[in-house]
Amino acid sequence: MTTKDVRTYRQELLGALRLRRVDADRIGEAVAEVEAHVAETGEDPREAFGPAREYARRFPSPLDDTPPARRRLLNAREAAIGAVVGLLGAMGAMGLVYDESFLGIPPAVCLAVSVLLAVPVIAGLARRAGTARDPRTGAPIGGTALTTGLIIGGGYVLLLALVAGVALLTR
Amino acid sequence: MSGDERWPAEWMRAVLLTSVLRIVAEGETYGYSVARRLEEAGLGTVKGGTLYPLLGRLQDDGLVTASWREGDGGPGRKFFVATPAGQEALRERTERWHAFTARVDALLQTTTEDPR
Repeated sequence: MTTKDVRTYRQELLGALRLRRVDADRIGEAVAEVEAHVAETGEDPREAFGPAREYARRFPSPLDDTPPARRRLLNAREAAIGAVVGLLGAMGAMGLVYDESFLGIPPAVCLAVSVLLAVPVIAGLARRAGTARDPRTGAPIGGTALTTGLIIGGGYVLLLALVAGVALLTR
Repeated sequence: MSGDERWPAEWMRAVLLTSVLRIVAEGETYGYSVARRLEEAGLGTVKGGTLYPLLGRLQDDGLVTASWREGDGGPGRKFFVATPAGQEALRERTERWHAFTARVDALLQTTTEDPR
């Protein structure tokens, strides 16, 4: 076992647990348990705990109680909200550059509605991801809720900037 | 009985939770030490991937509590201790387990003495 194996496994487990939307406190515990165990036994984490994705399935997830049909519906709803936010934002950004309205809606209004929708959606996603902390040190493991929000928010701003940039170039 | 004895997986699934609770109820302990105790008891090697979720379940059910502490110069360890509810659950499960195995024993006796 090398520290690199442990680091890789830790990242894989963190990702798999996040994907399952396991509670952030639980994630911190699980990762610390693996680290403490292999530090003590010298075992390869994959050997002792199995592949990270399989091990992650041993932890309770809110998704377990959601029937697949409902899960698909919720995913579709999130995708739809994302599409509306992105489309309105893009139309707003493009409209401001071209000085044109989209479906009769002034670009500033498009942009404002997009931002007003995006802020609570991004805040909600960040809150849901939460901050997993190492129970031994209290230090965040991976990103905090704030960094998650900043990354998604950054992606959104980048999208608007790209659209505006392309519009400027093709004007 | 050797420590690397392998028992059928379904037997282990049935006994492991109560066995782990029993070990924790003996006194404050941590994951690796529980695994060693199980092995010494002749139940074979129980991997971390099996053990920690069980300890987590006991914790969720309020039968054990856990806290992180530094070991003696070693890495931080998660120590588990049985709650009064855990001690009570252990007493009850042990009693039921004895009744259950006595019946299985009695059945196996009769069937081996008088096959068919």
